Amino acid sequence: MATETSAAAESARQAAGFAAVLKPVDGHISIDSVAGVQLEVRDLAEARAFYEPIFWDAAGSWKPSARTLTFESGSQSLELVQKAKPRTFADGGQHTAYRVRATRVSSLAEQLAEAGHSVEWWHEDHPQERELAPYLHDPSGNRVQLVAASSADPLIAHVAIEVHAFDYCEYLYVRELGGEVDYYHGWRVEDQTAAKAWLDGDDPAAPWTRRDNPGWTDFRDQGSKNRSIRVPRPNTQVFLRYGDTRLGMISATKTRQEPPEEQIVGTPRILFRSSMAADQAAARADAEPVPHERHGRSIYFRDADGNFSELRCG
Amino acid sequence: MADIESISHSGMVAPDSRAVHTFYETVLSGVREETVSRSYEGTRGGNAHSCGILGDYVFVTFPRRRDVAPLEQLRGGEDSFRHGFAVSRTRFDEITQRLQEQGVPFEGPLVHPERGPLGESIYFRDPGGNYFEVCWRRDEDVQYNPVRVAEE
Amino acid sequence: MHLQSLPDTSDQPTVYGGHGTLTVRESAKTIERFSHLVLGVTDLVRSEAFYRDVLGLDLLGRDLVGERAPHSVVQMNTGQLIILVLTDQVWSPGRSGVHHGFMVTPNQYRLLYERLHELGYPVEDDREMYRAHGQYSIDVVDPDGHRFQIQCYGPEGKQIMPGAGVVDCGAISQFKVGDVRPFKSGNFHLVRLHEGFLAVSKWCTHFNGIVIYQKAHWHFHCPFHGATYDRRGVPAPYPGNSACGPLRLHPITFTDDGRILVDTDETITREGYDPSQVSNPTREAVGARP
Repeated sequence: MATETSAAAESARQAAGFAAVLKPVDGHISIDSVAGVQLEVRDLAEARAFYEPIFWDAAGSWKPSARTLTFESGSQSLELVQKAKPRTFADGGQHTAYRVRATRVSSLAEQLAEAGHSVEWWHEDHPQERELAPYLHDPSGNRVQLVAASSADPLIAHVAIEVHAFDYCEYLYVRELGGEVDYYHGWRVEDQTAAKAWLDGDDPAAPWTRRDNPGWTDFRDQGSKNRSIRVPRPNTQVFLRYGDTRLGMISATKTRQEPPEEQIVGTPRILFRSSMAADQAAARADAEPVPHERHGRSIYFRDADGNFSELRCG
Repeated sequence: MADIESISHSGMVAPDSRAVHTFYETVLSGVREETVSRSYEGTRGGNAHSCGILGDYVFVTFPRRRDVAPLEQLRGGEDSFRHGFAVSRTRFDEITQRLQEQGVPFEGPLVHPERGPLGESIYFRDPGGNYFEVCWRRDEDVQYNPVRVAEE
Repeated sequence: MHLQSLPDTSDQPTVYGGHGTLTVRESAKTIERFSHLVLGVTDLVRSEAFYRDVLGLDLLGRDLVGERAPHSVVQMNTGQLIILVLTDQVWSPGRSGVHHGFMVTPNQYRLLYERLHELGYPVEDDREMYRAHGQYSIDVVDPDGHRFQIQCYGPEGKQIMPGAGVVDCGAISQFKVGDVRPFKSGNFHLVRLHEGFLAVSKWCTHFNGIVIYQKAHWHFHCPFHGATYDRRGVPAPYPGNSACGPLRLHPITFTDDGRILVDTDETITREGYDPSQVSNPTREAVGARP
């Protein structure tokens, strides 16, 4: 009655492509930069009122339409889509970091706090984010980081998303889309050490950068399955560079319902820009297993954890 | 015949476990298995879990420090451990050339006694300070039991 | 006292290395194969006795390679070696995580288990609950503190698991499109897609772990080695996915009074998903009230 799994099935799995090295594959899609984000908000006017003081230093303009509102600044944009129940991941590490003139960051944070927004000062782990910076949510719950800079050009410094299947998502963002690993956190001894200070309350690290869940060996070493054990550890994060912009991938801090599995075009989504022709980008995307759709000059992707992105070509 | 077929994997430590596996992948053509754990014990943590395949051997590396000699000491491990890999004799020079091209310092080649199973070896370290050796084997034509590898 | 389960008998070695990882030809392009492990030991005679008499390796002899100190060479059946080098002091791994894993056939595992048990070595597997079906492991420490696992993958990890006969899943009307419902008896999930029903086996095609459905991710996930499959049981197409082919199916029939029956004694192995694999009831069965 017992039978072996067919050798053909095993070979088929191998034929699916076992990437030797997770670096951009030859002929990968070439991305110039992170061009912005498209976010969901409950009310466009309310969102505009929130973002206007943040974008004060940026050269740009607002472009409204019936259900969307876009702030265009140079080659980047924040595109707001009105939804009755916006998906904003307020309790996670997803966020967009906007540049604000360094001389204005503190006063702007105070102004936003006085307007009733809860502003926290945290640091993250990327070498360029070790100083404390203000974090808050827009009125719909999208997390915002203000980055002190000499100018607000380009406006968006980086975007961060949360992923569960880390290596599967790296396949898209590194191998297929050509992101270069800029920095990673969680794999070094010093990262483990830094996490201890956070658990002791001595370190204002952004909450999604740390974890306190025990692993099997912690239970073994502490001799019990005591669920109240808290073990400080760094949360694994990888930062990818696209041109002068950055995408942060953070191990998910919470399980959230992904959009329906057949949905490839969705929001919120990261916007990428490429000078590559759409035909060429589409051909390269077709050669890879990541779900995608082409509409005009845009290729839409859905990563292994349901995060959406759009590549605007040409 | 021995009572043990083969040795298949090692758990290792390194101050930067991801750097070590990037070394295996880029310099030694290893294959990545995962860098963040997807299995039962990891799903509650998104834990760093660097795992990859080198030749027919699996390495899992944990971020931890241990006392090792300065990295300039290329040959060692006799007081702890060293992993030795083999290539065919005809490819041995290719390996030494590859290490040179990749800027990896190594010691050797050292010629082993003719009475034994090893031919020549070179010695180097991974970025975590773990000791490595690549050799060709004098017994490479002996028909030992094969290590089963997929796609044979 | 239960020490651990033992594998079914077999002389067949496995293509898997440690941690359920498939060793692949792709990884042997530059470095072809593992040759030898060099270990520091403080007493050659004592270590020879351990590796030869306890672990059953072949002792080839002394001072056979170019090590700088007296040493002993032991060999496994694949020609892989352990070179035991005499040293004053050995760095002992303790609980650092440093260890090495032997891979043995199921018959070798049974032999070693008995021998280690008779010699008084602990043979309990305190991680047995984390291992998939057909995965076995014993921890053993050599006289200098070097830590080893003796592991095997038994044929039961790849076998079609026995079913539980025909399972009555209930009325068609209880399942709306999108539902993925687990059934303990017979170990399957009943999935209702737009195109029809699938009875998807819970047994992971890697090593017969039991997959769970994670609704948030729309996928089946095996907690043992992280294999993931979509709702149709097709493996996620990413490198490193442990899945070895789509999850198997069981045939579905529908009663005249609108109930869904799954025959878990019959298993369908497939290469991929095709819409012809789904089952749909007749209009009469859909409209029937049980």
